[in-house]
Amino acid sequence: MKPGIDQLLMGLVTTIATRIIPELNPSSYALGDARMSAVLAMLVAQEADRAADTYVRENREMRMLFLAASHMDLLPALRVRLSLDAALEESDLKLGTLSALHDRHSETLIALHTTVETIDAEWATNLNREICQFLLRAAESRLLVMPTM
Amino acid sequence: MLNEAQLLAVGQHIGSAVEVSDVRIASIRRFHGGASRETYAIDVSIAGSTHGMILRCDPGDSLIDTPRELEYAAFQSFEGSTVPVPRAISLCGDASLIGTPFFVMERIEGGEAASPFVADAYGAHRDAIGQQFFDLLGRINGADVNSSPLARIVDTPLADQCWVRELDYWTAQVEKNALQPEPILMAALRWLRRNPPPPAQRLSIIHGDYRNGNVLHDGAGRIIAVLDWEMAHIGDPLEDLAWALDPLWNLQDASRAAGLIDRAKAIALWEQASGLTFDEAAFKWWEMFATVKGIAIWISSGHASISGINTDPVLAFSAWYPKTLGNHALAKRFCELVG
Repeated sequence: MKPGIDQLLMGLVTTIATRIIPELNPSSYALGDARMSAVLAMLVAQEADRAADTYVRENREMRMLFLAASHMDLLPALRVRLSLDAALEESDLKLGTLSALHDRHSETLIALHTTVETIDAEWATNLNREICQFLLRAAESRLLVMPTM
Repeated sequence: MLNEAQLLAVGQHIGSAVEVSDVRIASIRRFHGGASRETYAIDVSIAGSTHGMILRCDPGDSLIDTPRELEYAAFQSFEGSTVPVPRAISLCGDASLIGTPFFVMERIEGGEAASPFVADAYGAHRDAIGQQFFDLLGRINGADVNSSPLARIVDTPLADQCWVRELDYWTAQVEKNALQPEPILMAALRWLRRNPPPPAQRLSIIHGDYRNGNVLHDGAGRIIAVLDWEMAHIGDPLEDLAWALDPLWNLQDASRAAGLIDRAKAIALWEQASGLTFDEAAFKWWEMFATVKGIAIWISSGHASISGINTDPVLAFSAWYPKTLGNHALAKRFCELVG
């Protein structure tokens, strides 16, 4: 698709900033909405390019964590859940599909993390550390560059 | 926006409060933002002379689920004190007048509020504003609780229960409004529950949202009003300090507390004005709690936005950008904790 999503959104930002905002009453509520819409469009332009990559990478990383954890000394029900999640794959690369699977894996990760925190063993300490490092990478990959205001 | 009949009703209500019959609303303008409250600037004609006032009411889908009289009582608690607040004029708990309870207060003219996302928002007045900012927070947290009008509205927790009350409340908000699984936030909630802070050194009035965007300055280096008290309560004073020092409010300058002054100086000013002692170990808990509370609010924004009950773009923004910063801050802390 050309122009790309980010180019289209930045075009909208330019339209809002140069053609719409100057026409608005400085004291109007709509002025605030217009400014915020422009900021949102700039942020969405950043996210649009990377969203699928972020989901695919994180889904894969979580499945690797689940696979490793499924061999550890955990409750059988959790091990089964980990194994099932570890065996899943994306059926397509639509954002909705990737997001739904990411939500499922995130729920499983919460269950695993909650359990691992309570186990006093070296493998659990190491797994806890790996989960925290994964969460930090995930948080870093979602940071956005705020436009200068 | 209020219709003619509602404006007439507000005018009559103000007339009753000031005991003047010739009162009418000459003009009204809504302030942008304020996801938790609708705020209007109104010009009120009282017996022929115009007075600038502020009308605050609940939007019905308020992100902050607190009664209208709470904020009114908070303003009253500092009226005539060294903490500058607008004078509270009248409170209307009767939702039939305009569809929601509301209150009216005087309008502070000439004041500006800084956006947390604008770098160097105070320019050359940054240091002066910073000193007042933390001094005023100390005055709020050092104020007498028992004699305050706020104490008649809100409950007073035991000193060792402040943390659990706040944690329970914001956990419930997350459970109610979460749009997706939140592994980082859940880890933080578990950590907070497992590692409680010591009891509050004293019970204080807590502003609840004390940050640089909620004070008005005169553009010449003076803070002229502390606003937005809708989350005021009685609790551990470190809660307010941790919120004020949360990196989200640093005006894109991580080297300064609230983007204003050196952190150690900010804490010293707060201690001096409040008569309280900064406890670094206890503060660690409240520091993480502040980030959690922020994320809980941003999650509520997302819920309000996606459900269509408040489609202001500012809610979609709040649900997204500040939450990414909060999650990053929490995840970094966890990596430090586990080594």
